[in-house]
Amino acid sequence: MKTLQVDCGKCKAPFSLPLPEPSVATNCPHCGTYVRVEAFPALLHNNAQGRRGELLTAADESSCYYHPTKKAVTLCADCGRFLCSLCDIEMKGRHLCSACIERGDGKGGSEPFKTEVVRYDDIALSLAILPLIFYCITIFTAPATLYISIRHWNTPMSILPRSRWRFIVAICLAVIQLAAWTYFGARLLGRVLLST
Amino acid sequence: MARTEKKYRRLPGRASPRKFFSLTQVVSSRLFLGEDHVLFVCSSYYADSYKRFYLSDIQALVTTRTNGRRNANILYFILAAVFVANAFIFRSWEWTRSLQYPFLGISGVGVLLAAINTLLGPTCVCDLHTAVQVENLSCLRRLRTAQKTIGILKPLIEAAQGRLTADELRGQPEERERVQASAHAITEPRKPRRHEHGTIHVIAFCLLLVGATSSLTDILFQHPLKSMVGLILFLGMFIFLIIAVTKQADTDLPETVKSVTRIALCLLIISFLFGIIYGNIYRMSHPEMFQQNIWEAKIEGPIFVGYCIADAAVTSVLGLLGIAMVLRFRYQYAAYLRYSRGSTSVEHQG
Repeated sequence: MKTLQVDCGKCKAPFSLPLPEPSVATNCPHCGTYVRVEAFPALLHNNAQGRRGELLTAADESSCYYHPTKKAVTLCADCGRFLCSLCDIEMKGRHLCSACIERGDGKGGSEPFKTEVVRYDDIALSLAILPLIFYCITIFTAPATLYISIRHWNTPMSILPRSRWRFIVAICLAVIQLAAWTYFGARLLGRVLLST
Repeated sequence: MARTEKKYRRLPGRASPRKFFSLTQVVSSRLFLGEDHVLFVCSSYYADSYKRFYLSDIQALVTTRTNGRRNANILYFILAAVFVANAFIFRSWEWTRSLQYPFLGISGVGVLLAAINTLLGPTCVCDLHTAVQVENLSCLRRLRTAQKTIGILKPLIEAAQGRLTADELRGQPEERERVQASAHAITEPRKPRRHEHGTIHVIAFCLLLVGATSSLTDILFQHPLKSMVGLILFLGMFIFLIIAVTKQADTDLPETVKSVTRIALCLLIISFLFGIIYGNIYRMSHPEMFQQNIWEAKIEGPIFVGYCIADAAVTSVLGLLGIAMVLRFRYQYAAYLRYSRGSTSVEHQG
């Protein structure tokens, strides 16, 4: 019978759970807490063995760009470098090397590989709102808010649907703060000039 | 203009913030359903990180019921009880009578939170298993939400992988019990534990005993010099307990000693806060005290006597318990060292 190695979510103790059915409700043998398992056919599949690059047999054979001793089997669809079967990554019918995939991830181009994004709109909004507590520092933070909002207006922020309302609110608040500073600055300057 | 097609559908469940004062920690997480995968989004303050689990790779979804709801309810009721008790204390004096209503309001919020928590249902931990990882889906913290999400995912996973039958599972050869470390142990390696002799702990527990004696003598005898000594003693206890709590992390000290130290620190803080609140109320109800020097002021009354007795009892019990446990640990550690030295010398002789 197939068993599943499970860690109890409550006492964290590991235990082997026999699976007579795909859906099993049982209790942890250590702490007796209720555990429910939903198993799927992937549990029975053996992990596919990774491919190994074939070694060069003749001196005139083409070798991999990254592994000079291994035989080239394809070339990267992006950069054209020769790749052995170890370096060849197939993605949506295209053969790519790891460097091209990494470059694409950095530019925000290849969405399936994106693992982290910075939410610049939240940064801009926080920079517009939080310094209001210490209002005098808004003279520095308002231009910074405007800079971040304009600089990252087109930067992809999330692979999930996300509107730009935070940028718009941040820009409005920054403009109001700058207008207030200009007004009070002009009044102060006027007073100084009048007194002199 | 045609609207762009939504790639992801939001699944039920959202983890509430856990760590407020950390810029790098995950503050919330959510699950989304893509075309052929489940997207697990962990958000910190200004960044999102993504983990994809392809429907064809998911081996199992394991849900374990936890005691989170009960623990949270206990906390909410303690909060409510503390504020109700404070409201009754404030009711005793004319000066502070109006303060009882905000305090009763806060305790009402505690009861309301407990009611909402009860209605949300039992809590759970949900783990997603693939061939190479076990991921805790922290957004599925309620059993009802986890079951709802699994109910959405199950037909989709079965559409991608096919249906698993009981015959297939029973037809598998008997597996030997695995002796490998658990999945959590692999993902979160434990730090090596260093030895801690517990000297700071012993000093802190001894100070607790002295503090208990000082609390008891406060009932019979109050003097400016004694008040100053009491303050220095309190600061000493506080500093030594903080050092002990900091030092005990990742050490081989018994978990009970660590817990007693933490409890002692919490009680010290609670006792300090209660002392400040009660002292101020007492001063407001006795205006003649404002003309006295702060060190010369004397507090009397049944609440003060009860507070001193309770403080002395709890701190002395904790102090004695802590000292006894540290000394026992030291004795056991010395015996272990003697044994290990003895066995190595026998090996050398052999």
